Amino acid sequence: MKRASAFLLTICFFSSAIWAQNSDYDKIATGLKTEIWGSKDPDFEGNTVPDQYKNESAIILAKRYNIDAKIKKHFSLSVYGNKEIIFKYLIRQKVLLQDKSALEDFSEISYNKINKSSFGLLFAKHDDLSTYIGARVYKKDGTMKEVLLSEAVLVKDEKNKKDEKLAISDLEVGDILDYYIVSLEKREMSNLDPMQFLLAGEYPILKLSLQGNIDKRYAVEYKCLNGAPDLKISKDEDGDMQFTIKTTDLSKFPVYKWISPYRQAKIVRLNISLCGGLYSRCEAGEVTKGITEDEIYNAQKNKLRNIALGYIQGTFAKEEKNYVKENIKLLKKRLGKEPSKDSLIYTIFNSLRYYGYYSPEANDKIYPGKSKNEASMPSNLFNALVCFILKDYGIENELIFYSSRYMPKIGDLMSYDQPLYMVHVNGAKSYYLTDDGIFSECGLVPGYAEGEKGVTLEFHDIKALYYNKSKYMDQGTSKIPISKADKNMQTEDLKVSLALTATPTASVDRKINATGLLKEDLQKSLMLYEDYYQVAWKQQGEEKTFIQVFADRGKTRSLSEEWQNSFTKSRETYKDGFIENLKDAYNSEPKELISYKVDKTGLGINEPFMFSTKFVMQDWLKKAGNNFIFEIGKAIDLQFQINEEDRKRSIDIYEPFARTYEFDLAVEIPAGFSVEGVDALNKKVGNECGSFTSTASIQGNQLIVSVKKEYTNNFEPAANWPKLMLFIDAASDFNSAKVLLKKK
Amino acid sequence: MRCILYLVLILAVHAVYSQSDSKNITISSLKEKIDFEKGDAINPVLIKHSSETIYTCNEFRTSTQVVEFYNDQAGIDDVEIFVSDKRVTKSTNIRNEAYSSEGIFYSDQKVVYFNLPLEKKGNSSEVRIKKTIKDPRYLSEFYFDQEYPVLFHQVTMVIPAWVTTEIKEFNFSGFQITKSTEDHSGTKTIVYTATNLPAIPRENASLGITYTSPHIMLITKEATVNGSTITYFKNTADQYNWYASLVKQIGNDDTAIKAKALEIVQGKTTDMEKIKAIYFWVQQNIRYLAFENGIAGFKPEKAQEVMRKKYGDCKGMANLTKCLLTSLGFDARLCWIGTNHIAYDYSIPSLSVDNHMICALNYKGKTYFLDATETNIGFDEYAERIQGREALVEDGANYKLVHVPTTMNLQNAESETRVLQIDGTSFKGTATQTYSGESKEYLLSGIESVKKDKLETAIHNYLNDGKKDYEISDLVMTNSKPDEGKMTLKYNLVHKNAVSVFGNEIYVDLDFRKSYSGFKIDTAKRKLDYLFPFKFNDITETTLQVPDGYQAQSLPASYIVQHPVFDIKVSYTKQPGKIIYRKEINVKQALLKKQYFSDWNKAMDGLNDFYNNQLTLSKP
Repeated sequence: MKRASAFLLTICFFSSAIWAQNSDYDKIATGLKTEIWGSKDPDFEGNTVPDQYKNESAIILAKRYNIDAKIKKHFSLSVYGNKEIIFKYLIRQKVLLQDKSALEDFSEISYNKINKSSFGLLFAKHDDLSTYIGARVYKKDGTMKEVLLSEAVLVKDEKNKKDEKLAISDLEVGDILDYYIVSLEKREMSNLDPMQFLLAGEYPILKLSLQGNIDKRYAVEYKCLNGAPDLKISKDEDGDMQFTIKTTDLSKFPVYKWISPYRQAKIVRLNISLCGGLYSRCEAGEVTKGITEDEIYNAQKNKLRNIALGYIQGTFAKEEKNYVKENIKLLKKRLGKEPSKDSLIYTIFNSLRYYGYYSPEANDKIYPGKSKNEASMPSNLFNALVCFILKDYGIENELIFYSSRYMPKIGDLMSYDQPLYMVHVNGAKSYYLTDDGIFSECGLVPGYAEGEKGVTLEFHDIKALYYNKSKYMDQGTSKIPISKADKNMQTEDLKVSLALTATPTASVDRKINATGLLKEDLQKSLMLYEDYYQVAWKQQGEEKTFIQVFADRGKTRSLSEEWQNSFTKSRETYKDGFIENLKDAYNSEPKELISYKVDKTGLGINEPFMFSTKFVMQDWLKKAGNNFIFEIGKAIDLQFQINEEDRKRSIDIYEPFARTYEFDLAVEIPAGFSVEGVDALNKKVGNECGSFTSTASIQGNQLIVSVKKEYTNNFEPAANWPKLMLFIDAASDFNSAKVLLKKK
Repeated sequence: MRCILYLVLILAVHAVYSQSDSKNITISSLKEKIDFEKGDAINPVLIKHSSETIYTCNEFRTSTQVVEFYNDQAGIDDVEIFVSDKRVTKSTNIRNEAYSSEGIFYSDQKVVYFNLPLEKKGNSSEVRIKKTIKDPRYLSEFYFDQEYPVLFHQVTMVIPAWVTTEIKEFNFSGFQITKSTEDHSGTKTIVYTATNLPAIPRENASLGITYTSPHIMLITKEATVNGSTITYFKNTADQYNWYASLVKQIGNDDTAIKAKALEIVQGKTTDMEKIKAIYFWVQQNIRYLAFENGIAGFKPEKAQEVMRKKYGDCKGMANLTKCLLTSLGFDARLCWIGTNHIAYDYSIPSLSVDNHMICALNYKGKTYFLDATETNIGFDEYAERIQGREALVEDGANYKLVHVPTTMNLQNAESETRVLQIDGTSFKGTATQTYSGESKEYLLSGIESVKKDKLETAIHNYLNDGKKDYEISDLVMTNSKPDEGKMTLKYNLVHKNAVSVFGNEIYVDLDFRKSYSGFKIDTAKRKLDYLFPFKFNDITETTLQVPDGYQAQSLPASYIVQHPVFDIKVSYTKQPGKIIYRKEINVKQALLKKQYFSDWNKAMDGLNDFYNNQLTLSKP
């Protein structure tokens, strides 16, 4: 509740209307207080809590949302019409506080008391918002105290904007707090912001109700996700819409690793709007379930038609088109013949990626270091462009409209959601193409897209799309493929030599090779823009680097020097990325980092990301008399360990993607020593969810250990959690593995 | 004195700036000027402060955020912004907001901030700010070093004849700072010029800039306006009188307070029981929320209001503690105090000297200092931040200066005693951990921040360092309230994979936590002394029952370090059928000066070497 206006549990639109004068404010506040406290809502009567909740931090005895939207006529000089909305939004909560942590959470309310703005022709459009609060404390002895709102303090005090904060007096552990926040907003008639209600949060809720009363000039679109109860819908004698949800005994939402709340939590999504938007099916005065896949198809198709118009007319992506054309020319010249379909696809995709991300303009900011690694662009536009340009070069493809695994399923989308686009080229070899940041790889499907079912649009050519010629367009469905674990692989090759002295150390030559979806995090954390720019530039076959281009022009000459200076500065931090990588891997800082280098950027076609480091570790070895214990388990990176409280899991597991980790260790056995305990390093645990295998043997004067851990799927039902725990535990147990180096 | 606010603001300003720009941006010139003006009846003496800061771009174009604080006493009159010699004030998005930070619920502190571009290498941007300080007491110090390296910083103070001032200089040694004074018909112009200053080092675990940054304090002693003399702070007595005048205005309701006091001490028979009951009641039942709004930053809230609201800040809690005790006839007084982040004491009459308020109790010839803001500390225990500090104690029309006692590090003691047997490749046994003083306080504060239903798991994770192989069961916690003395946690444990068995030999590691392993200070990078949160005594003892038929091979030699600031002693001893591992680490002073960094690192190396020695048990 401390965090802005108590909407911890909801991703809600929160708007309120203002009445300008203070005396009006007080009058309305008093009126609301009488109305709300006098409402005799049975959910809020009674203060008993069942024993089963005695150990909870806090229990929400009752929670209520009320949404009211009324349209009224008013006098206005505005050319926009003369109707305005009175929108009222109430949240009321009654919570029993059982520990100091909950007391901290609920002891303060912040709110936007007044927010007025005027805009539009003749300032006739306005938006008046005000917020009213009330709170009561029920003490352990049963007495009730009304909280004095006069104790609120103004944290922003401007003419048209006032924010307040209230610390609740006399609130102690064991008390029950009953409070409400009401927003009233008066503004020109328009769509309301979408709302979402999460029916599970940090604390258990005994009774929850959601009620709406919406003017018939609006349309209400909704969806209830993941088992959330359906709305009870009715109309009053005026034809205004009412909807209700009443539910009880809502548990807390469990927070584990690998979850997707939009697909697992009970959520009610609402959209209250005036018809006339992108979706044609919209009926004023009706509460209807949200959009269908057909509607998604039509809406996205219409969006694309607008983009197509710009593309045809040359107002959209003209330079990108020319850049691709130049590169295809160069490609043909290099090959000495017509390029294959594969080459065309790679060249088009990589050229657009290079154009969008790699070469800064003169007026771009200079961001030294790794800040460019997080760059992103409007993906859907990029993907639409890929689709169009492929078509120009005769490569048939379709666009898939889908939703991310971490967003609601496509069937749970609302009219205001923007699905993601992916380009699918069919043929002997299938390509799935999408932008996914500066290190996007042609044909690599991001983890958040894998396995998603989408709606497809295929069109004969761009003109057919623009003119909406249904004869030349096709709607379908498609499932985005899921990569196998061996496609996303990280292999660590470690050569270890041991110095068995009074202060024993291990010198390590570590080479990492990462493919598929395991590349990105490493690329982002280790590479400097300067380095990967050089590689990408060479791959593009450009004549000059952007720095040389800047140097050639008088106006931009100083930029050339400045960019160079920024590279020099970011080079100072280059080493830090490698040290952090080692610290994360071993949970301990190396005694010395001798060398570090990125060997391959992973930007090329099917190119892995490779880097190497040489370093010295001092906590891998322990002295034991004349012998040494080598804690060899530490060399395979710190493995994920499942905590005590996470061993019982009730919700499905959304892995990022299937993946494999391999470690190949070659440990040089120092002269005069033998190794014991090698057999115990051999282990094999596996099932259909994944596996952990380790094999160890002595070969000549080397101890060779190979370890492989695989997560076979990107999704597992909750019932499979024990199967996952088997190999996850085996891997984390291996971290404790030791061998004895015995003096001969 | 505002509860810790001063320090927070200084740190906040410097936290805004990006460390990576430390050479790219320099302050090529910063000129400040102070003038005194006559005001009105409410504010008879005003100080006008102007500053002109020129930021220069040295390597590549970038931007910086400029932040300026102000409040009811020190307002901003004008801000002008120039980028590459063009005035851009009107087109700059200047934000103006209430300043909020952890622990300060509400203050009149506001902040003006905006983004200042530096357009090109070699170009400069300039910010000019004019402020009026309504009461000379509220003039803050002038720090010569800044968030960026400073090439030139000049502070000019024009002191008219009708004002008497004193200037205090701090930490000039090692910096290039000169001073000149001119006198024209009674008006003194004092100019300080500093050149080539490095940027203020931002390092964690440090005492704070009052100890290290070169700065000056301008103290206004008195001023003559329209024939009458206004006394500000000529000396400590003046400062005390001002504080005392605010205290007189509080308006405590003695009846309500006495009623509450009697309720709190009901059933207590001895004086000490009553005193402790009062202190712990305030400590445990009043939440800390600081209100620093104007004069509220200096005047304590009424005691009955703090009682009613169940929240307050250091002033409110100190006043409530005092009133509850005095209502029962005890000799309790308010004291102002500066915590250890402030380098000054009351020999300097200034609002900058203190940032905290506590209660002093004189009882049977001993003075106890009661700080209810230390939420879980014991009675007659003192937090590091106030130990040894000078307190300004009220004494009616007079005052006393008394030092808060400095305690031994044994006040903050932690111990872990384990008795283990070997079972296959596991250890099995029992453990007892104890905490006292600030060690206990830290643990209790951590426990209070965890949700009730997650508490057992959180404590287990804390005790086993998050390692699932270390299984804890049957945990019993005693003396977990702050007034109960040493806190104990007893539990059974099974530590899997702790024992390595190779043939007839068993290898064991008897130190589970290996505290301070790798805790070395980067002497190449760190510029400031290192401040531990508090001094402490840490004892770890593990008794291993040697399995029948086995005996220990040679035991590693003990490792002992004795040093003025810290001691380390680690050893193994043999007893029939047992081996006892004992480690004792004492940090006797919280501050480890830079000159001792290499000693500390050497000690850590030695400790690591000791940790890296395992015990071998074998069958003869």
